Amino acid sequence: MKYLVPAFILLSACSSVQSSAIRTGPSRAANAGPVSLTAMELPIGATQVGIVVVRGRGTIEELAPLFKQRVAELGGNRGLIDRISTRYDSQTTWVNEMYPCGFRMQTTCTRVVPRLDEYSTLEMSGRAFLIGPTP
Amino acid sequence: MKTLLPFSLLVCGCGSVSNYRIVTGVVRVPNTTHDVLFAMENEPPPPTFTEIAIVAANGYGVYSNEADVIEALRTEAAKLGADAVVRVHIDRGNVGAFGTGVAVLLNGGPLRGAARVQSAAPIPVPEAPSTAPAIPPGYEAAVPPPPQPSSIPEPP
Repeated sequence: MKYLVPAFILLSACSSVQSSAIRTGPSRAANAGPVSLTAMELPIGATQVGIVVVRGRGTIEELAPLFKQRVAELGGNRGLIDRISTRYDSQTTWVNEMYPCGFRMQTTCTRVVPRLDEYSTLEMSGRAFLIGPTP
Repeated sequence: MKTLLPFSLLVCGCGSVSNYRIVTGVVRVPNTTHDVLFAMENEPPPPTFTEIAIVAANGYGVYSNEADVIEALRTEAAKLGADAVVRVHIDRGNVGAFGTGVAVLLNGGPLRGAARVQSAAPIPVPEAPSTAPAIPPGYEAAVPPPPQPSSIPEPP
């Protein structure tokens, strides 16, 4: 139990992914079909249905499915990724450190020392579009 | 032994570069020449291109620099058959670096060699238009408004 709580906190911190989908047009039903992604190619006549932002501690391959899901929720079938960026933050954590101590008999002591960790947060922002006949 | 492990990590150079991709087009035959052009995000995109994938690279430790990230993007783009990476964006931290871009195929195969030759030649300066600028299609020529009658009555 002593190790379960920190492990849970660590795991939940690593898998924290946030996303938001903002509708910019009229309300549409969610798209149950496939959603494709692009960075630059958008056909003429595509209708913008919303803005999507996904951020979290993961890779672009891990965040892309969530981006697609958000596009589909807005009723779009094509997601245009406008920008991918990473923010680096530093965080001080206190960790136990073992060190040799003792005069006559060599023993091991522990002390709590600060450790500066850097973690990155990936953000994918873009827009959701609907290609084809509008329902 | 306890002190040897961090020391050996330090000596061997702790770090790595990871490549990632989101395929958004059709993957081509790998570009074996590794001749990949780069355009940063504030540069205009090429006039004609075919998008292949979004590529990204994450460098840690000794690889957390722009050169290694760019090299990783180049390798990943070449694997996908791209000959250019456009909209390149790089973020840096203290122990990490992240780069992303769009791997594209410049339309017109011989353009790659031609672009390399042109890079060594002086950039041609476009000539100044001798006449009025051409009117783009879809726009009508600006016609000067007809002279308005003077509102001040002329003296008899």
